[in-house]
Amino acid sequence: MLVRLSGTTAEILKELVDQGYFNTKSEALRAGILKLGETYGLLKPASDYWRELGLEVSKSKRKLTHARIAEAIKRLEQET
Amino acid sequence: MNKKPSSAFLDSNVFIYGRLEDCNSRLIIFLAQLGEFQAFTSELVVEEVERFFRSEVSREAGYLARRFAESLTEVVRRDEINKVMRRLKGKIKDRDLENLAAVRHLNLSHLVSYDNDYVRAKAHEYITPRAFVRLFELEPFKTEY
Repeated sequence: MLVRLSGTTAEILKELVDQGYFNTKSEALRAGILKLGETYGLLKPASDYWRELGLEVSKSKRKLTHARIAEAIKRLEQET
Repeated sequence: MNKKPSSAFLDSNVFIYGRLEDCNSRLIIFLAQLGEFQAFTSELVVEEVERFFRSEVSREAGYLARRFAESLTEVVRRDEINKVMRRLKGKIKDRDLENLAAVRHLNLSHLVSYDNDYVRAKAHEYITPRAFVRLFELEPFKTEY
């Protein structure tokens, strides 16, 4: 996707990179879009997903022991 | 005195152990949530974390795990690191390629993982969750992960 910016938006984007907040302009734009998603309720903060994931895990009947987790991670790596 | 890192790359095992056990990986997730450092990860890690929770817990857990990883970190896209990946190809295992390429592309000093393959790959950025927690002058859990 090609985005053309000029004036204030272009200047702010340049400053965000120059001041070291982001490595690239693309990175800054992606972060900005995520922030908009959060503002308009399209994206929840990470802490909400963390909590909901914890609840989902605790609801599960499957017991995730350390050995089982380690084995599943190993399997995952082999599949990749 | 150790210098606290301002950024780091998180591997899939950090997200997985961090959510499932009281361990150093969990402390790292909390540090990232508190904004103590900027967390980065790769598309590969996001896919692995989703796949793990989907197969071991539920489809909903897979979705939540993906959204969690994406909202906590800045995800380095594959198309940004193609060049670095080509340079590293053959020098390290394919599975580690994308993650290490992301780390090198961003010039990060720390690749946090519990995976000895990075030692064999001579990835000098590799650090275990336990050692990473120590950089923040916190008392780590006894386990490496």
